[in-house]
Amino acid sequence: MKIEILGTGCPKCKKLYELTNEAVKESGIQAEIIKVEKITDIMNYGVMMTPALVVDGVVKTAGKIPSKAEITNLITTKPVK
Amino acid sequence: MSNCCGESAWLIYPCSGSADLGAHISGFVESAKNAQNIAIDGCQVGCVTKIFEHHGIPVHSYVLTEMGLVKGKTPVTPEVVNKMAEAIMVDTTRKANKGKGSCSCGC
Repeated sequence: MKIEILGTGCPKCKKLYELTNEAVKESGIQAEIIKVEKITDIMNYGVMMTPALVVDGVVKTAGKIPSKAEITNLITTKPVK
Repeated sequence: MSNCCGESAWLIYPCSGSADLGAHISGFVESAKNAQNIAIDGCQVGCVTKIFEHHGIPVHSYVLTEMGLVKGKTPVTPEVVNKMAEAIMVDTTRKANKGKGSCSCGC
């Protein structure tokens, strides 16, 4: 699983990165967590508000810091196809 | 893009500017969920407003033909654009401030 944290380096973006790290560790899933800080890369996702959480290329949240429980839910729930 | 960490950013969607939402592009959808949204529809067909309804995302809706413009006839001049922008701004500000009286009684 590839998780990307979109944000230009503000405190909220850092907080989301921390919470996501904790959620990944606690849920025991295998995931690569990447910070995306370049504004043009962030815009490529259509995100207009940061911080944003992207899981396997799909934006799951934008413009808020979800709780750790929400993050865990977002990274452990398989998308409906 | 709004300011980083901005609380309750305002996002504006004209007819042609809402295709990304209609296409369910996740970044745009998630951004709209956490913003105050303004839909500016050119006519009463209301495509932008319907896209928001489809997503279940609240929106402040404006239809230009209900605000005095005539589709295909009203010229696009700076005066007309400014008049519409001002009317929308005044109304959204009024709605945003509703219940925020300065008397601190919650009226």
